Amino acid sequence: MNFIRRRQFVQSVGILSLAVLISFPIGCGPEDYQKPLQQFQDSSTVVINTARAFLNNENTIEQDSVIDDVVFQRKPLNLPEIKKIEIISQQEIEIRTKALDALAEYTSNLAQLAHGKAGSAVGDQTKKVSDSLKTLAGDAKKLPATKSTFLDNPKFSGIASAAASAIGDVAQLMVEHRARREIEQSIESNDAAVTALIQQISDDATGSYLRQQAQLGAYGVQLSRDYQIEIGRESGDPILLLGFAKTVKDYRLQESQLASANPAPAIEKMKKAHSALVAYVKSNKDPKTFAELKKAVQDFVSAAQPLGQAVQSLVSAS
Amino acid sequence: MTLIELAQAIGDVLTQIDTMLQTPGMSDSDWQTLYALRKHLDDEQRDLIGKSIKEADATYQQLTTKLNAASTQLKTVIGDLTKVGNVISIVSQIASYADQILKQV
Repeated sequence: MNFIRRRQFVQSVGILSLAVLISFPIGCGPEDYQKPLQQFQDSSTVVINTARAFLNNENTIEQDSVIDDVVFQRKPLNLPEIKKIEIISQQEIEIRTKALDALAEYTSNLAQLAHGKAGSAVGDQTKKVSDSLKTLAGDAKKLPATKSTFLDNPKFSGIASAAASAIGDVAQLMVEHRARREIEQSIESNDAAVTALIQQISDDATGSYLRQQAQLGAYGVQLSRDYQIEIGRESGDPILLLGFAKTVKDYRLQESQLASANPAPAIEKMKKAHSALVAYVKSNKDPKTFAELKKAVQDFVSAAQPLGQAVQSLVSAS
Repeated sequence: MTLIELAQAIGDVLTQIDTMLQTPGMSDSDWQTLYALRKHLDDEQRDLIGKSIKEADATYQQLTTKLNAASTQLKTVIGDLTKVGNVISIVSQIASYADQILKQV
């Protein structure tokens, strides 16, 4: 059971290993500013893929939890019923991960603005981000009330809609070629709505992570209990007990890998790096603000890196 | 305290209970009682995630404060097999606070 679970998890996060491989070695551009901006984008990719992986794994987590419990209690196993357990739909996952993609794109546009590239193309791209978020907010609003209680779609829709409007305001000023100072002011004043969306996605991913943690903990308890029962039998099978030892070791490995795969700290650092970028945009390339941006991005990279490493370990252990 | 922070706090309690349940030496009936409470808290955590609540609400704040205090108290007895009764009592309180919070959301 443990192997199946791990394989499913690994499949769902497999893309991450590729992201990690391509993320960290690159990023040094000819100009000093390119490195932190590239690092920000690369780390964002890692975080987005981690969030996507956890959300994708959510149904499996809850289904596996029921299977573990049924087997543990020696009850009849009704797989067709278990298959019907759906905590999060594919559409709900898509909406959230596409929103993260849009946020990463917005940050990239801010980076270009920071270096005096506030031309029509950047304005158009930013407008596309706003339109995309508007669509996602609309889609989230149309979703039926969740079958489970796992996600609050109306709340997500409201927050995404506010972020879309905020980014739309910035895009409008860019498209109209308004004064740089005015655009910077708009970015700063609208940024609370953008960070609120990052926070909401962080909460969704954290919820998913917590459920994975709870399910794995329950599995460890059941494993330990079954072992105690088995060694209490007079006719205990030594081969079976050796098998238990292997399963316990696999469980412990998975437990340590999961501990390193919590996306919440990295998303928190992503928020701080985003804020530092907004401050840098407004600073007119002030060296002190740039130093702060570099530090915030480095903190973000440091927080994102273990996520990729944890997933790499999961992949190699499968 | 946000709901996701509350879910995290319950997750910490679950981790503590798991440690206790994985430690040999508890009587069968105590083990079953604690395991049933663990299942209940697990369900409560799942139900809380994704809900909305007014975090400034006084009742919510009182309940989360009580839950945090009980969680802190749990840490002082969790590994002690001579205090399983206390552990069960504290975990029951935590589950009750979580129940009351769920009625608010």
